[in-house]
Amino acid sequence: MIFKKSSKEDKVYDKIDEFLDLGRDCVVKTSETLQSYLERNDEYVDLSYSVHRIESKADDKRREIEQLLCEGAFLPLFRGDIINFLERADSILDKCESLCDYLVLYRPIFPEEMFNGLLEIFDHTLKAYSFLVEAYHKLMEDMSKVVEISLKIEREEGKIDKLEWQLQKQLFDSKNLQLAEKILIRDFITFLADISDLIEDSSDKIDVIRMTRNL
Amino acid sequence: MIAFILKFWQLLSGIFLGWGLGANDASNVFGTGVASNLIKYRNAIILTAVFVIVGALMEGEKTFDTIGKLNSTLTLNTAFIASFAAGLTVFIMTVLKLPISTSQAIVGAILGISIYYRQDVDFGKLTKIFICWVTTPLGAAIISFLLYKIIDFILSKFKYGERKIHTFVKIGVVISGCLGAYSLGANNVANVTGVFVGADMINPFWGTLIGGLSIALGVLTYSKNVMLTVGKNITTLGPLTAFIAVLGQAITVYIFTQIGVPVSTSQAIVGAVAGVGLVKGMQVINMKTIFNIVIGWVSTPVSGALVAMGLCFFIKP
Repeated sequence: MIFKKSSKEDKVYDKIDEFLDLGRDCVVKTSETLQSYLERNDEYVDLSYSVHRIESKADDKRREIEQLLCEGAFLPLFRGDIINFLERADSILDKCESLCDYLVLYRPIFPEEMFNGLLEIFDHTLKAYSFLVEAYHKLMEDMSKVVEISLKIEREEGKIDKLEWQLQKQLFDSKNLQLAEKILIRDFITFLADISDLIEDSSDKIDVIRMTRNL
Repeated sequence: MIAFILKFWQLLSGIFLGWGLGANDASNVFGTGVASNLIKYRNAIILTAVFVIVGALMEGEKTFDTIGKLNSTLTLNTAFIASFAAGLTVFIMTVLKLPISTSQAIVGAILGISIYYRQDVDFGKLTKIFICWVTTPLGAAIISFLLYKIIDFILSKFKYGERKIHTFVKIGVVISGCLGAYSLGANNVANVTGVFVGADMINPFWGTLIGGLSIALGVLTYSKNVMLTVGKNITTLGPLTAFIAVLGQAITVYIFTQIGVPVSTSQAIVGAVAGVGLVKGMQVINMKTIFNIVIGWVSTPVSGALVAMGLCFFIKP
């Protein structure tokens, strides 16, 4: 056999796919946790635990990928890029976990007029995450399309920034809340918007990989 | 066997030179692949050894005339001195970590002998050799520049992603490595046994066979460290561009084989790296490297000549 066995690379590709699927589950469950919380449904606690479980599974998956890379999958130059991307993508899951903990531990009381805005941020976050997965798949199969998808992520992130600004303004314009309550909600909104920032960062990592692979 | 050794002991200096050549120059062929972990060292040296021998046997004769007939009055003993002096020069300059080319060392050694014994040198061949030395890095730069443009154009016509690139680089490294090994054998075998063919000790077939085998021996026994060091330097370019540089070097050396002049594969790879760097707008070759090449055109043949003259003085063949 002239070449080193290629199965390690194939395993890495598959495991990154699985890792990204877990990421999607995590974002979806976090969204459901928030929805349930806003509906004052106690199920949100169980949902938040499921986010923890998914995050833990994703950590295991990431370790498996890193192990394969240490065992010699890919060119050394490629490995660093993959590890950087995984680290960044993993921080999305960490942020989801923290967001759920925030709800469970601090139980902020949101004014009803903010519900739609919060859920809308999550809609755009989910869209941005789906584009991230698509960007990864394009990186594997057709790199020329990566930039186009990165721009879509950027647009979703822009929409979230706008919503975040509107919600913060609405929050501090409100006369019905105490300052402490406002600060608690403000931090939650910032946390929520951070998820899309991390998705955008992960997409930037994919773009760096694309640039280094091009001639 | 003993009779054979007694008859052909002078060839040992050629084998020594071939061994050094193989140990040093295998890095230009598969250094990228091994340093990048794309191909196992063991497989790389086996492929290099095989293709060096094939290249030597198929086209090695093309450069014999240039080396063997540079001084057409070489005797068996002066051929031995020339070969031994070149081997010693390569060894000393490698120890001193100075840039080295066996092609330049053997030409210098032949010139040293010619000067010592006041023998005629074919100035037509010498001029051709010097022009080829200067044009080796320049030619490699132009070829890899064009290769880059061509491959970039072809790739732009296809959909490709990380998976295809990985496969492309893997196959490309093996193909360019085998072509590089073939060119190395075809082009440089005359450095090893050209003087013995010129002195009518052996015929060209045996010259290519013994030369090819001795280069292969160097590749198989002592090439690992240089291969990893050179390979790591080249791979900083990125895997695709490194592959183009190695391919550019192989094509350049092959072209010089058709012209009939042994050239430096190390200087060809430097030129090739500069060529791809030029397309990317990167200054990948520093002034020190260029200075080393230019100095090497003079210092290596002069060193080879001085060592040969010293050996002539002490051994009096």
